[in-house]
Order: sequence, then C-alpha cells, then structure tokens
Amino acid sequence: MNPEQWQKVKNILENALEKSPETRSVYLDEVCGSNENLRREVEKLLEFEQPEADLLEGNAVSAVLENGLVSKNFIGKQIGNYEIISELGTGGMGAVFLAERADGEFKQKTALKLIKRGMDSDAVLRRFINERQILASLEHPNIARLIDGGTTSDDLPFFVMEYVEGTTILEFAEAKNLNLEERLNLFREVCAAVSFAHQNLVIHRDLKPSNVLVTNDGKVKLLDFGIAKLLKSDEENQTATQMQVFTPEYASPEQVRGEKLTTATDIYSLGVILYELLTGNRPYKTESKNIAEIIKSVCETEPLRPSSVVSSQQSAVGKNTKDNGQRTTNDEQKTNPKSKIQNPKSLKGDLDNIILKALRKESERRYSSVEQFTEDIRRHQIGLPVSASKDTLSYRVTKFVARNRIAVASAALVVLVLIGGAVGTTWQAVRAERMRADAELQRTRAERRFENLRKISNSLVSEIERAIRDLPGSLPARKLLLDRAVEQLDALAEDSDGNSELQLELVWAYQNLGWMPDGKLSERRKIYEKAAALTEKILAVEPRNNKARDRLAMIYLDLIVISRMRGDVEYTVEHNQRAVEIVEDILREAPATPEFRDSFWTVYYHYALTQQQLGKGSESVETARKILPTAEQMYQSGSETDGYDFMKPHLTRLQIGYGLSYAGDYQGALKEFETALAECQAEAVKRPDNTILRRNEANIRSQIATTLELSGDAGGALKQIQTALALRERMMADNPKDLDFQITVADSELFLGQMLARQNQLPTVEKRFRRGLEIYQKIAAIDEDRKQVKILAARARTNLGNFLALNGNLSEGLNHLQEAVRFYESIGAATTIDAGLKRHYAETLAQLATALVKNKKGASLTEAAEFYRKSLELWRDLERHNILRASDTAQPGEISRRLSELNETQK
Amino acid sequence: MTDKPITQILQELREGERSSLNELLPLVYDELRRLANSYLNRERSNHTLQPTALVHEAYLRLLGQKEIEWQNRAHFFGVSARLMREVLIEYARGRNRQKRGGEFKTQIALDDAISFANQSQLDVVAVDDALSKLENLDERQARIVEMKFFGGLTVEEIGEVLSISPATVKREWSSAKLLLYKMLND
Repeated sequence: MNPEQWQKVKNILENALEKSPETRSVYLDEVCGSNENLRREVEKLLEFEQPEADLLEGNAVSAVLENGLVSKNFIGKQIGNYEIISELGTGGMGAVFLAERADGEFKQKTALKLIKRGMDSDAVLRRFINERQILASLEHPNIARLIDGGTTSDDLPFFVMEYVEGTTILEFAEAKNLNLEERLNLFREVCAAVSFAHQNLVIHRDLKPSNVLVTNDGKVKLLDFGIAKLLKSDEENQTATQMQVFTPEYASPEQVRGEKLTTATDIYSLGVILYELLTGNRPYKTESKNIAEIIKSVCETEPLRPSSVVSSQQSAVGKNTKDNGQRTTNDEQKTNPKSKIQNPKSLKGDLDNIILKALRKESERRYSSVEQFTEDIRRHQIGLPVSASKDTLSYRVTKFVARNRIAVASAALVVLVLIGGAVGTTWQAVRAERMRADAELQRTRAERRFENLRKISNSLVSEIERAIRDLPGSLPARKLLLDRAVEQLDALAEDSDGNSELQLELVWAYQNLGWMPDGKLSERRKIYEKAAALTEKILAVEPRNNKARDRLAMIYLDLIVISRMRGDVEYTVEHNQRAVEIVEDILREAPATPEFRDSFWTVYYHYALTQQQLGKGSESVETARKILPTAEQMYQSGSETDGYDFMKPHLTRLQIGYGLSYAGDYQGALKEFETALAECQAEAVKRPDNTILRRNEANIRSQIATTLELSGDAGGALKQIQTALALRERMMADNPKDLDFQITVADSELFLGQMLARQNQLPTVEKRFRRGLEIYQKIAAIDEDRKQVKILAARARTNLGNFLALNGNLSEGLNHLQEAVRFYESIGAATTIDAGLKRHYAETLAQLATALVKNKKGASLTEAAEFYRKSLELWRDLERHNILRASDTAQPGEISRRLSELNETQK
Repeated sequence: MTDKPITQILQELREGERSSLNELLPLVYDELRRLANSYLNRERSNHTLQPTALVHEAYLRLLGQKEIEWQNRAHFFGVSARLMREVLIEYARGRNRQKRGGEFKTQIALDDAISFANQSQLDVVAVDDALSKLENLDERQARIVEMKFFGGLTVEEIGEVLSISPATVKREWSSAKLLLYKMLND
C-alpha cells in the first residue's frame, strides 16, 4: 500500500466506522463499486473493529511491563518457601503453579498464583498485607485456605493457596447425575461457606463454577476467596486494558458498572450458579467481548424464568427427536447434556422465585443475606412457604437487620479499600504536597483532599463501627479495622493543631477502639486515657466547647466500664461523679439541647449502677426513675439505626427493678422486670442478630430468677436462670473471643448451682461451681488487671468450698474457703466501699467458721469464733451504713447467734 | 548542553524556532529515560504506570515545578511522546536480548479466571515496527498514535499539539488502530 492508497482506504474506513452495521454494507457497495480489491481491503481492516482485547487503548508502559512474566520458566525453581512442581495454567493476571513447601517439614501440595507485572504489583501487595489477616482467618472446611503470600526476588507478588483436586460444581453434578434434591443440597453447602466468609467480612467478588469445586468425595471447596479484591485496580487508574477482575457471565450489575460492592454481589453470582446448575443455561448470554454490550445485557436483560428455560429445552429436544423420526420418552430426555433437571414443574413457583430474587438487578431487592437465600431453598425442600415471591409489591420493606447486613458488607469493603489503599496513599500524597507548600494551588488541593479524607475517616469510624459492632463474631475484623482507622487518624492529628473538630473525631475513634471485649484492660484503659487527654487538650483551648465536654463525660463512663472490671470502686465513683457534673453543667447552660439527652441518660444510668454497687438500692431506684422518661422519649423519637435508643427503656427498667429488689420490694421489682423483658423481646424480634439484646434478655431473666427466689418461688426462679444460662451459652459460642460472655456463663452456673443447692438438688451443683471457678480463673489468667473476675473467682471458691464442706469433703472445702478468705484479706475487702464485695467477704468468713466448727478440732474452734466475729463486724458495718441488702437483714442476728452458740459449746 | 531556561526554549519553539527543539530534546530525553528506568526497574514504589505521569513528572522537574501556560505544555507533551517511545523501545529490546535463550514461552490454556479484557500480550517492539510503517503512509496519523499510545496523551491534548479538533484526532485514531491491528496480526 502506498500513501495515496491508504488515504483512500482510510477515508472509506472512517466513514464506515461511523455507520451502523446495517447501513455499512450499503455504503461500501456505493463507494467501492466494482473495485473488489478496495472493498476487500476495507473489510479486512473492519474485522479488527472489535478486537478480543483492545490493547492499543492501553498504554505502552504497561505493555512493556506486562511482558515480564511469560518469558520466565519457573518450573523447578523456588518462590518463597515453595518449590514449583508444574504449571496449572496461565492467564491474564499471571500464572498458577502446583507447588510444594520447600523446607520439607511437611509436603503439602499448594497452588501458587504468581501475579505478573503490570498488575500493579505494589498495590496488590499492599492490599495483600492489609488483608492477609482477615483472609488467613477464613478457616472453613469448604473454603480453600489462603496459606501464604509475598513477593518473589524480582518483586512479583504471589499467593499460596490450598491445592484442591476436583471438578467444578457443574461438571460434578453432571458426572454424578445428581437429581434436583441433590443439586440443591450441594448448592446449600456452597452457600454455607459463602455465608461464613460474609460473617468474617470477606466478599468473594468472583464466584463462578470454576471457583466452586467439588472433590471426588463430594466435598465443596471454594477457591480464591477475596483474591479478586487484592487484584482490583485502584479506581483512579481504571483504563480499558486494565484488569477487570470479574467474570462477566457471573458478575452482578453493580459489578460491571464498577460500583461499590457488597455481599449482595456474591448473592447475585450464587444466583447465576444455581440457575446454571438447575437449567444448564446461564440467565442471559454474554458472548460479546465488548464491555458496553456486556454491561447492557447484565444490567438490562431480564433473565428468563428458570422453569421456562427447562421447558423450552424440552420442547427443542422433543422437536429434534421428532424430526429424527424417533419417539420422545422420559428416558430420552437425557439427550440434553447440560442438565438432568427435566421437569419444569419442579422449578415452577418457588424455585423460579428464589432464583430470580437472587438475580434482581437492584442489589437491595435481592436476598439480604446468603442465609436467607439458603433458608428459602431449605424451606422449599421441606415444603414450607418461602419468602421470595413473584409479586414485587409484596416484597417486604427491608428490615433493620437486612440493612445492617448490607452495611456490614459495604463496611468491610469501604474500610479495606479506603484504609488499605486510598487513605494510606492519599495521606502520603497530602503530606508530600503539603511539604511543597509554596505553590498556592497545591495547597488548596491538598486541603481539599485533607478535608475529604477527614470525612472518610469520620464516616468510616462511626458508621462502619455502628454497622458491625453487634454482629456475632465480628471482633477480629473489627479490631483490625479500627486499629487501622486510628493509625490513620493519628497521622491526621499530627497536622490538626487547633482543629478541634478533627481532634474530636480522633477521640471518637479512640473510644471505639477502646471497646474491645477481648482486649487487655491496661491497653483499653490507655486508649481511653489517650482520648481523655486529647479532649482535655481541646478544652484547655476552648473551655466552653460543649461537644468536647460531653465527650469527656462519655470517656469517663468508658473508663468506668474498665474500672468496674478492675474492681476499682473508688475510681468508678469518682469518675462517675465527674461525668455527672459535666453533664449537669452542660444542661444548665443549654437545657433544651436534645443532643445531650443521650449523655444525660447514659451518665445517670451508670450512676444508678454505681449507687447499687455501693449498696444504695433506694437511691439507685430514684436515679433510674429519673431517667425513665428520657429513655422512653428517646425510644419514641430515636431512629432505628442510630445508637442504642431502642434498648434504653428496658435497660432503665432493669435497673429500677434491680434497685427495688435490693431494697426488698420484690413485687415491684418483678413488675419492672417483666415489662423490661417484654420490651427487650419485642426489640429482639426486630433485630434477631443483635447480640446485646440477647445479653440483656439473659440479664433480665437472671434478675427475675434472683427476685423470684427471694419472694419464695423457687421453681419459677430455677426456670428463669436455666433460660438465662442457655442464652448465655449460645452467646459465648457465637462470640468466642468476648470474655464478658464467658463471665456471664460462669455467673449463671454459680447462681444456678446455689439455687439447686438450696433446693437440695445436689447432683450437678459441684460441677457447676467448678466450671464457674474454672472460667473465672481462666480469664483472670489472661489479664491480671481483671480484679473483678478474681473477686468472682473467690466467690465461686466460697460456694464450692462451702458445698464441699457440707457434703462430705471437709478438707478440700476448708482449703477453698481459706483460700477465698486470704484473697479477700489481700484486697482489703474489710474496708471496701463496695457493698457487694463486703457482703461476700462477710458470707465467706461465716461459712469458713461454720466449716471449722464442723471440723471439731480444738484449735479450729477458736479460729472459727474469730471468723464469726469478723463476719459479724462486717454485717453490722453494712447495717450501720444502711446499705445492707434487704434479703440479708437477718444475717447479723444469725451470725451473732452462731457465735454465742459456739462460745457456749467451747465453755 | 544549553543554559537557556526551558520555558524560553519552549517559547522559541512555539514561535517556530525549530533549532530550539534540538536544544530541548537531549534535556527531556535524559530526564525521561532516568524516570522511566526507575519506574520500569521498580525502584520506585509509586504504582503509577502511566506514561503521562512520567511525562508530567519529567516536565515538572525540568520546569522547576512552575505552572506554565497550556500551549507550551502541549508542545512539550508532543515532544515527550516521541522520546517516551524511544525510551520504552530501548528498554523492551534490551530485555528481549537478555531473555533470549529459548527456554520459555509456555503457552498453556488460559486461566479463565480474572481477566477478560487483557488476555493477550502486546509486543511493544512490534507496535513500534508497525508504527514506523504507518509513518511512511501518513505521518500525522503516526504522530497521533505515538502521542496516544507511547505518550499517553488524551485526545484533547493531541488536538492541541497538532492544532486539530479532538474529533479529527478520534477519527484518525480509529482508522490507524485498525491498520495497526492488521499489521500486528500479519
């Protein structure tokens, strides 16, 4: 071709490109006329209009970089600690090898994925480092585990995964000739694994049959969990040739549009897989390589009802066989190689609706969780009505929980993307830019980004935190997220001098981080103190900053939560009073401000608890009654998603009842408890996933049990405490890392043991006391600052010792009681202001004395008298200060009687 | 090496002083090569792989990070694209030489995972060869390809450099692409 010829061809070509395919050939007929060569030339070029990969739209630098990998021969070489055995495949993103650990400790077969250059390896690696903890914690029998990862000596990122030998779920179902029921069961196993990952805040993002393998023995294994995320290009770098980390046939509409992904995207992909598993077809065809067309068909084409796909296949099969002059019988329907589900009736109705619900274009109209999806399938299998229905009008308004779950998913996503990628790099960029502050333009830009970043960090900390805090089992992920958030905010705070708003956000992040039920108390305390110091710093500059003052009061309450566990009553009282003063101060100045209502309630709620701890039952009732109207008002006006307003009424009533019971008004207490229980249960129906509501229910039942027993209904009491124990056991199992749940289980065991002992039902008593003691001791060993749990352990020891002493094992019983007394002495229980602690010490002393009397040895009787005297002193002391529990009023007299009895016999 | 400030060189260039180009080229070339190498050899942790970023960075360095008017920048970009092409081809050829030995090229079935947009590799040296052929057919069109693919310039920027409308750039690009794909396929 010469330049003149090219000009001619070019001209025609450019005109042709602008025409639609239909008018194009008319145009070519016209311009080329009889010039066959010209026309051939043009048509030949037009064949390249839609290349498989439009690589020239990319850029040369990436292309140069991408050539790095293919040219290497890795077989027999070592990558990290892994020796490459053979290649399993290569693809756009790199190569997959079969590898074995080279250090020979154990020969485990693994799949090693090597990411080639051009996959933005730094970002991949950074994301990997950020997420490895979460991915590695994804231990589930049906999920191929991510074992390791790193970079090769020349900086290529790699991941090592459990190697799975198996076939795809579709191939497996065909090969084993599975029927509908078996296919559904298999699919539900897949769902269970995905659901597990979602609870751990990991979204797969690339679910498709080739990632869902079934081993020969029928075990489902999901591959590449979370990997798609690691390989995702940063948004600002999206270009046509960059990796689109998804598979168009299984990708959700939001995914092909490049929008934010939630767990709903996995639900969608699961829907496509189920569709294909049952019908042998995909919901729509995406043969085109043209991205715009793919997006269009994924986003706009409504999938056919699965049952209609099966029936049309059937008629097609029927037609063919007829044309061949053969009879159609049921047996012959196997001619369709893709699916054995040949009865469209079996899919009609429920299964159609279930699958189409998973495939809805709008993510919020799909199943809100994988469990709901799989539960619908299960219900269908056993003939129960399902939630999915054809009628979209009857589609129920998304419930709080549903929203919460979606929020969780997006939370995980947003946090990991932002914290791991954007925030880190943006922040560095901001700093770098700030350093070159001479350029005015750069400064304003940096400030704008700083501002954006601040907003991101803020919403990240509050909204995401709120979304995940009460979900079962979310602690490790939560800690990771918050750790990072604070790191980032720390960096921001460095440059935040005088920006009190930003500093308050940092304080808020610290407060959130401090709430870690599995964290060491000293660490948590340090975090809260850091928050308090920062707040005080703000107040030093702006003493009338009400937000900061309010925050300080709330931090004091956080610290009180810790000091309660540390068993430091003085600290608790002092800081609670300070918090009350701050809030009263604010209210005096701004009495009508609704935003401080929450603080008002919280501060006095804690105050009621503290008064109770000091033995001031009636005062505690008064305090709690004072905040009940506020609680109810907030419940009425509070938004469903915001804060804990929905708990405030029943928590307040629980506290009122608690105080009434302490003061001896059992009927009044029971009335409050019953209202509280009803309120709590009503909320739990609305929020079945909320752990705190379950915890509250158990607490209320436990208090009902105490009060029922005191009022003489031993049977009713027993039932309540057993229910409470069952609830607490379940919470403990759901939240293995939350130590507080373990403590509540031990509390219930102890209480139940006592109750059974009093009712003379002895068989399980000793076991229960021992279990309680064991739990307390275990937790005490984890964190030596948890003095309160040591006190509880002493109480368990008292119970166990007393029981053993009275039931034939005097020597061990004595040991326990003596050990408990020594402990109480060591912590100064005789002079504490904690009424409960003093009471237990008094009880222990008396029980030890009684056991010693039983021992009947001369020296021990003298000792026993001494312990009775000490006990009596303590009871009298409680009585004198008017902080004796109503149920204990007989104690001083009783001990005094025993003491004089003993003195009699000694004479 | 010239002592003239870059802005002055660019200014002269704009006014049609062709000889200024010769003063500018070595400067830009050295800077670009240095930058490109540090990116390509992964000495830099920045993950930006865009040629535009390289060009921008070279530009900012040479100008002492001062903002200058768009017209000059367009010229600079036009020049840089050519240099970028040279740097990259030099790099790619150098690596191909290193890797010669024939032990590689395992073409195994594509892993259907992950990528659908980028399943094959683009041989940059082959693009360079094809582009040289295009230069003989239509020089302006070849410049457009060079600026877009090697220089990473946008359609608007290319329009500025060549003083033509973006629509024309797009048109030229669309037909050039077909020809190049055909050449690469032959």
